[in-house]
Amino acid sequence: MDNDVVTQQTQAPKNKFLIPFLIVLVLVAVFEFVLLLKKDGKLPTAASTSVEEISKAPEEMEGIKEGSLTLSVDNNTNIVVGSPFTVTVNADSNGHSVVAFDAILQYDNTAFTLGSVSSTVDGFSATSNSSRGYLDITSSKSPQTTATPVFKDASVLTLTLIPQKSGSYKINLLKKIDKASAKFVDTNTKIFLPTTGSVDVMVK
Amino acid sequence: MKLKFKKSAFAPLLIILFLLITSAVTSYVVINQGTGGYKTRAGWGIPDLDCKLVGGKIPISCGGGKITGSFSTPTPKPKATPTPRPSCATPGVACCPGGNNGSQGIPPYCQGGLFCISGKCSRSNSTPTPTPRPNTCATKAPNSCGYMNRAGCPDGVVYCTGGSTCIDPATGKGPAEGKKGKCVDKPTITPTPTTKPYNPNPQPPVGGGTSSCEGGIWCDEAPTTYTGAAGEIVCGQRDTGGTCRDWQCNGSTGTWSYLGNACNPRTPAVPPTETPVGTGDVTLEFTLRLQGVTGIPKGSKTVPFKVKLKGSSDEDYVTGTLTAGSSGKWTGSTEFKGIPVGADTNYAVYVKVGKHFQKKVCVLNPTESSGGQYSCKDGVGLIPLTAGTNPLDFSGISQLVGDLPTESGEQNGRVDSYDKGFLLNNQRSTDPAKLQIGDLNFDGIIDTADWSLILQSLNVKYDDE
Repeated sequence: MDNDVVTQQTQAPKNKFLIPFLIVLVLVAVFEFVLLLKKDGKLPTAASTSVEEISKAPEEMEGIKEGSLTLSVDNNTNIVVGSPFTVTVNADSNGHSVVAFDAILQYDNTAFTLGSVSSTVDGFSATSNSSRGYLDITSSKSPQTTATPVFKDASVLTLTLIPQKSGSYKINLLKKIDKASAKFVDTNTKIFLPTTGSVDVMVK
Repeated sequence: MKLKFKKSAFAPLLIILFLLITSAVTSYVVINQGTGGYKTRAGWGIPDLDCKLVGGKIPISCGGGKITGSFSTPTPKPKATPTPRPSCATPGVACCPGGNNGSQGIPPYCQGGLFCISGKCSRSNSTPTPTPRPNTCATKAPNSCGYMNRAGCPDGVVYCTGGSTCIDPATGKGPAEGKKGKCVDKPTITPTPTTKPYNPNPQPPVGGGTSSCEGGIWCDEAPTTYTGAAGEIVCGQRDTGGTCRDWQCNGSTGTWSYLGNACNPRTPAVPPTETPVGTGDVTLEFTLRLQGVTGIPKGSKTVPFKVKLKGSSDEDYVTGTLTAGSSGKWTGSTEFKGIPVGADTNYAVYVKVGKHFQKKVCVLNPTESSGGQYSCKDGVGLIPLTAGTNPLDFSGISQLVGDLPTESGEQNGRVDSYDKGFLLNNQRSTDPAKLQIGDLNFDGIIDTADWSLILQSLNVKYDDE
C-alpha cells in the first residue's frame, strides 16, 4: 500500500512533464513535415554549387476557377430522329458581372447536326464555329448595352440539334481543347474558368 | 500499481520514437534541400560535383542523394618546372594571350605583326585584338636593334620603325636569334614577282643540319602553315610596314629565321572556303497590309510580328517589327539562316502580326477580292526563296485583326471572349498599355471602330495552320 502511494506520488510529476513534452515533439515533427512539402526551400549555398533548373509543367490557361456551365435538354425522353430538339446552356458566374463568355460543346457529329445557336441573355449575341470538330461558341454583350449581368443558374444559350440516328449519346461541355477554353470575362477583363457538365440524350 | 507502471513505460518509448522520426526528417530535409540531390550540389566549399569527402570533412550540404566517393586527402600538386623562354619571333612558337605577365616564362604576345591564336603566333584573317607593342621597344636607324634584353619588350627584342629594318652588319641580313643588329633604312628593292606557285629555292642550310621547319606562315595569309625543308626560303609573314619578307628554314634548329628581303606573295590565291550547296541565309522583306489601316496611323507606328516557314524545310518562328508606311502598307524583315534555297524550293510563309490572326501565304503577290478572303489553308506552299534578300509583297491581302495579346504578349490563335471582353471593357481608352493590346486600327483610341473590326473577323475565328 505504502509502495503504491509512493509510486503514485513519484509518478505524478513525471506525468505532468511528459504530456507537454510530447506535444512539443509533435509540433516539431509537424514543422519538419511542412518543410518537406516546401520543395523550394534552400540553404545558404556553398562556395561552388550548381543549381538544377526545375522544369516547369506547361503553362495552363490563366484564370480563376469559379463558376459553372451546365447543360439541360427539354423533353429528353421524347427525342426522335429528324426532329430538332433544344439544348440549353446554363451558367453560374459566382457573383461576377460578365461581359463575354465562351462555351465549347462536343457531341457525335454523325448523330446530330447543328441547327442554330442563339443567346438567351438580353443584350448579348452569340457566334459559333464548328470547323475544328467541336462547337466553339463566344457570346458577348454589345458596346451599347450597359447592363453586365451576373449569371445565377441562368439560361445563357440555346442550341438546336437535329438527330440523324437513334441511339444513346452524350453531349459534353468541355473545359478546354486545343487553345480554346470555357471562360467568363468580367468587367475588369478578369478571366474565370468554370466547371463544366454534360447531358445524356436518348434518340428513338 | 500495475496500470501506472505500463503507462510510464510507454512514454519513454514514444519519446524515442518521435526523436527518431524528427532526426530522420531533419537530416533528409537538410541534406536534400531544394536542388535535387547530391550530385548537383557541391560539398561544403568543395567544388567536387561527385561530392567526395576530402580530408575527412563531411559536406554540410551535398544535394539530396547518396554521398559518393570516399574519404581521401588531397594530393599536393607538384610545382611546375619553368620552361625556357622561346622566342615569339618564330612562327608556331607557343605564346600566351595578352594580359599574361610572362610569369610562366613565356612572352605575353607575339612579334612581327603576328597574333597569338590558340597558343601560337600566327597570322589570322579573323579579327584579332593584337596586343600593342610598347613604344619603348621601337627604335630607328641608325640605332641598335634586335635582342637587347630590354625590360618590358617581348623577348627583350627592340624593333625598327620609321621605315628602317634590323640588319646584322656582319651578314647583311636580319640578326640571328638572341643577337643584336642595327636599324638601317630600307633599301629600294624591286621584288621579283613569282609567276607560279612559290617554288622553294633551296639554299645551303644555315648552320648545317637537315631538320625541317614547321609552322611557316605564308605572306598571302593562307589558312594552313607550311613545313619547309632545311635551307628553304619562303615568302613569309609581313613586317610592321606590311611588306612581305623572306624567312629561311634553319636545318640545325628546325626553326624559321628571318632574312628580311622583300618578296611577293605566292600565286595563285588560296581557293575560297567551300559552302554547302543549296543552303543559304535568307532575308525576307515583307510589305503587308493590316485590316483597318489605310494610311499612316495616328497611334503606334510599329507592331511586332513573327514568321515561320513550311515546305522545303520547316523553320520555326523568327520575330521582327513592322513599321507603318504610306498607303496603309507596313514593312519589316526577318532572317532565316542556313535553309534550303534555290529556284526549285517551295515554301508556305506564315505571318503572325501582334494583334492579328496568322495568315498562311502560298504564292508570291497574293490577292483577294475582299478583305480576309485569301485562303491557302489546305494549299501547298509555292514560294521559292533564294539566298540573300527576298522581297515578299503581301499587301494585296489583309492581315485580319482579332487575336489580342495578353499583357504578357501571349496570343492564343483565336478570337474569343477575352478579345471581345477587352475591347468592351476599354472603350474610349487612350491608355498606352491598353492601346498596345486593343487599338486594332492604330488610331490612338479603343472605340467602336476596333469593335467593328473584330466583328468582321469572327467568321475567320482561328489562325491559319
